[in-house]
Amino acid sequence: MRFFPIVITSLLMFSACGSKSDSNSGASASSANAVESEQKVFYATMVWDEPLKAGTKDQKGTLAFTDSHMVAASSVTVNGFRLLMPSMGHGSYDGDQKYTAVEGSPDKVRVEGVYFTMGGAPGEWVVDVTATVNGTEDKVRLELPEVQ
Amino acid sequence: MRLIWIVVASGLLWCGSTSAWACSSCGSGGDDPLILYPNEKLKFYTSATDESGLRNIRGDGVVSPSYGIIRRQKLLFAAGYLATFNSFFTLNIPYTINHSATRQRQGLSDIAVAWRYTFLPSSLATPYLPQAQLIAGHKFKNARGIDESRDIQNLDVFGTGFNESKIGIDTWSGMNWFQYGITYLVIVPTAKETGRGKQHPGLKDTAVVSVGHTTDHVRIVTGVTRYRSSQRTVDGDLVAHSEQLQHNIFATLQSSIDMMRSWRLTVVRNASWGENRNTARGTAVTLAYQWGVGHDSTLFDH
Repeated sequence: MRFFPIVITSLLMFSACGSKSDSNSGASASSANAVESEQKVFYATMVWDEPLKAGTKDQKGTLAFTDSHMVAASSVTVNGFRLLMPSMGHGSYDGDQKYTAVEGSPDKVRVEGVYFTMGGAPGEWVVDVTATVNGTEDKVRLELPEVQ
Repeated sequence: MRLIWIVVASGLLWCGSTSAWACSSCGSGGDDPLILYPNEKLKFYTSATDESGLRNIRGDGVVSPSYGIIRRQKLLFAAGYLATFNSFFTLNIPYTINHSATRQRQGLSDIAVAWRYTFLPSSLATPYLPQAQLIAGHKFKNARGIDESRDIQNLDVFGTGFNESKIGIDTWSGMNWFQYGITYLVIVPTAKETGRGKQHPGLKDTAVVSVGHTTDHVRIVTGVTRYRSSQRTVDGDLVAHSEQLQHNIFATLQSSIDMMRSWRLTVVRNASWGENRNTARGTAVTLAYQWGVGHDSTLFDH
């Protein structure tokens, strides 16, 4: 009888390990934690679809916003998505970027057509996002994961 | 007046061969390539450089592919004027052609002026004492830097994007079979206002250590170069991980055609040893031709 809890616990641990591993691989392509905007109007996170790669215009991901109380935003408009590599003092091409509202999720915006001119270590690339959340505009800087 | 120059030049010629008047940074890529010998009143220099296989080196030192410039060609025209028997001025006008895998763009790069003053000349009396020159110069921002690029692959970047002043010392011991030299330069960039605040690149310095040997008409010099830039600031705030570091190795072969003309072949392997950060790796091959005009030239008759 004592054997069953051990087996079940082991199976649960094994299962937890698997989900942790999945979550880690996801984190490698996302800004894991919500970052507060400059005027404390909102929090933002970005999850990239895939590990980031330089030299292609098809990098994309989803921005998610909450208000200052971490409640999902009821309306969001992205006004700017400006890549920057502060260590080198330059940005990147942004002529093909598109921002699209996610149907059924007013707190989320899809960003597509992102281009990185060069690779970078985690945090070397950042993005300055300007957005109007629940009617108030503010700006937030998100650090990006590794760009290969 | 001409006689005085001839006497001075002859005296210096007697002091040693032209190898004595070389410099450790010449041909290294670490500083201006043109120097004047005391028997030359005016000198011109042209070179063509082909740098290929360019790869980026990230802030963490990891080498990554370049999706922008993969090859850079540079044409340089330089002129030098001997102001006194121990000092001269130079003017450098570079023109750059940047290539990506599919496109190319070209333009004038930053124009630079420099002054060299020999405060410790080489002498047969003290053959183991090196010649020492003081260097001062300024590079005028003329071309776009990477922070001003409007090209998706940064092919329109032909300069650093900042005015830069420099000062340093170049030493060269060229009187013996084994020749050696050390150059050290400090480069001070000027801050500029940009859409992203007041950008100020960090203080830069360049060190060159070279060794060489000269036969009757041929000089071989090889050495290493270290280029370093401290952290940049934006509106006075230090930018993390923005230091630049580059360690190069170079080899130069120079051959005299006659007293006034020579050619030079230089190979530089950029960012090839030691620690390198926020820079690019590549191999540059430069072929240069230079010719001097003597003090007795009719160019200086009045």
